[in-house]
Amino acid sequence: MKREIPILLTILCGLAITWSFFSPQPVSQAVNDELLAWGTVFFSVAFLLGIGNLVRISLKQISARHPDWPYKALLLVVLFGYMIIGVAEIHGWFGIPDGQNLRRDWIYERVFQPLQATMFSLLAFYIASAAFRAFRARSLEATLLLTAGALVMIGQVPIPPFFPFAEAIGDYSVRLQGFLMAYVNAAGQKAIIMGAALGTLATGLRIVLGIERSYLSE
Amino acid sequence: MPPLLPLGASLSEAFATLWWKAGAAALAVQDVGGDAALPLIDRNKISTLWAILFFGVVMFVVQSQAKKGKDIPIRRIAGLDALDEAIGRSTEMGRPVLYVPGIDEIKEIQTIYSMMILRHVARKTAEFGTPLIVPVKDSVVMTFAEEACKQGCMDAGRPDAFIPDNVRYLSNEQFAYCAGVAGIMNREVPAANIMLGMFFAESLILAETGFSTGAIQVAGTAKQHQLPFFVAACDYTIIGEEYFAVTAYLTREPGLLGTIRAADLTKVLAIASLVIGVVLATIYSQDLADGVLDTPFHAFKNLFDPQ
Repeated sequence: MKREIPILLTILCGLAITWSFFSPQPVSQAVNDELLAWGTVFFSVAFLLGIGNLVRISLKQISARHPDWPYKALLLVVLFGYMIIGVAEIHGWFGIPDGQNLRRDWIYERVFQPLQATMFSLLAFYIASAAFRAFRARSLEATLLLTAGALVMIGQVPIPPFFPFAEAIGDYSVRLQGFLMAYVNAAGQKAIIMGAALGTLATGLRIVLGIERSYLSE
Repeated sequence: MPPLLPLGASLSEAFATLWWKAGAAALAVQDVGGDAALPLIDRNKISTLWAILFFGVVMFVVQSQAKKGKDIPIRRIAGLDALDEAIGRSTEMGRPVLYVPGIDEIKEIQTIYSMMILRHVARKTAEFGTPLIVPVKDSVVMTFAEEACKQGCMDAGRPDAFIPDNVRYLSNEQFAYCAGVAGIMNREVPAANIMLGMFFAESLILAETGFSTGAIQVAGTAKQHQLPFFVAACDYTIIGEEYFAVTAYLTREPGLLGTIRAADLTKVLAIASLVIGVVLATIYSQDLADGVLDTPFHAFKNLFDPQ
């Protein structure tokens, strides 16, 4: 029964959601909305499990004086500090006006967002290093990649006016870049999308029909 | 312009009408108990339903053939063969394996599938006695990952190999999670990084950090925009549909192989439809330019798009 009940629930929920995709009837949409609402509740409760995991592992490392323990301590201070400030602002504790998320927003906008932007900006350097390795012409495929990459890159940047035939080169490179992106690149991408869509369909059917059961415990 | 194909406009239109009537008779009846103005099945989605039914029928036929012993060949996928190689290398070097299941929620099919692959990876690492680290971005995925690792260890007959602290919830923010995984790569220096699931902008940051630590890297996703980054930075990349063939490839179960064959046959059908559409559009290009709407091309197009 430990396996049969989850499989039955999966089949019923899967069929209900599939039915709601095909049927515009209010009853099917209501079932869909209800299941999604249940999902939202589960997700919210599971968030506590994540925090529990984070706190448990951090406390273990702090108590064991793991080499990273100061970072773990800082993590817990920030986690609970931000939580306390947020709750205090909601309830108007400590003289913090009700409904004004000034401190919470300040921390988020002045600390967290710049840190996120810093991580994101690393991509510029990583793209350069990955492209440098990928574009080494060691084989026919790599040479084709290099050539296509170079053509698309030239088509994306303005040709300086002091270059001979700058206008003609600029015009042709833009058209060539457009051709590569609209036909060669798009065709490849659509082939991958089609394969992935069929793979998604196959996996969905396997799960909904109970053929694929490896996500369940024995 | 007279029709050039034996399939004349009237015949193809009749076929299209039959197609829709069959769909309507079988499915698009009015629901008495519901809103009378709404059909039971959305007419715009009937071609999708036909495709799914075709897929399902082929799947069950192939599955029954496979169960009777018919060999269903599946081509070699280097990225999947490399999974064992990566785990073996980690074992030889005495270093952990890092498994990154992407950053999407469990309702994303790629994340669900990643959990199934994780079970296989956990079984292998448990057999070899190699630690497996699984950082996750979503708390629901964390519970699934814990279960997959635990089950994988039990499959290997080594339930003691499951270390709960190695399934780590880091953050539900994209780049905070990315920084956490990059930190694990730098501090714990896994010998193998396996990245399978749904990835976004963090894919290259993770792959390049892993490359800088010298780990063997196997990545796979069906997200086409992230594939070039993985191809550039990883040793092996599992592309698109290959990703959804992992469990069938690894287990060779008849039921799973049946779905792979069904996907291939549906793909052949889709390609044939594309070719027919292109040929008809080319033949009737002048009619299309003149705005004529009753060509076989339109009848064929209406099979898929009834607008």
